[in-house]
Amino acid sequence: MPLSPGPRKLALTAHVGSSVGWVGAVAGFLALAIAGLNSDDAQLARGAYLAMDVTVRFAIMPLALMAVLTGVIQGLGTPWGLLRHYWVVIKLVITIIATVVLVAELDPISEVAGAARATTFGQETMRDERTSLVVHSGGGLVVLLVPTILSIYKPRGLTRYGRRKQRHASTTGRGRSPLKQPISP
Amino acid sequence: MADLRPDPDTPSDDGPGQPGIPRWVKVFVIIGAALLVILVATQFIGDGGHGPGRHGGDGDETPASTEDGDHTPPVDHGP
Repeated sequence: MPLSPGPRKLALTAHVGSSVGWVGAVAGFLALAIAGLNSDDAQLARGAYLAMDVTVRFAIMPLALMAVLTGVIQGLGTPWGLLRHYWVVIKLVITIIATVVLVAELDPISEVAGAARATTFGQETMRDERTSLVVHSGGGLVVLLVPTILSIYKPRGLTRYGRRKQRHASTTGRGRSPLKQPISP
Repeated sequence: MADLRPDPDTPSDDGPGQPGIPRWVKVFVIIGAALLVILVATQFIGDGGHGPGRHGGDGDETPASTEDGDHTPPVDHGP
């Protein structure tokens, strides 16, 4: 189902925007998590966790879902395909896993934010959970950089399915690379 | 005159005779599997975290027997 150039550029813009936005939102979330864990200022810490709850629900989650959706649209609507190239497959797997982990972290984040609403919230309150938020967001940030790098470098490698599709395309004479077009005089 | 610049949105030919999994994919999978093993191990071996061995750090949990007092059933003194 190839997309025409206009919608293709739009889908690409949406995908790049949401993917990079996701990375940026997680970086901001990590900064809040570190501040909340290490700050001696109880008000700042409480504010950080309240902000983290809002950030994850209204920024990170929508961006993640949009990145997955637009990525699938990009895969299905362009010659890259969804399963033909290893870099696309790995990107898809990483993005889906990261989204699943994100959904699993929503409740723990809400719990900490709920505790932060209490004026008795102190440095030792839910210390393990707060440390876990730093670890998860830091690890998530590193993981999310991998699809970004793959998107830029696009390392070579066709899957078995991709080689089959390529063989089929070359025998039917369709899907030739623009580089193989004859040069007109 | 045809534009010879490669189209970045279109895959270039990966070559006809390149069977098998590329080395970078194998390295990726190995690193990913190793990280997964480490992650699963830390969940179960780690000090609390998500595992079932977690003890309430805030001391909010009360033990099963409370200090409410007497739980002996009422004695029926009869008519």
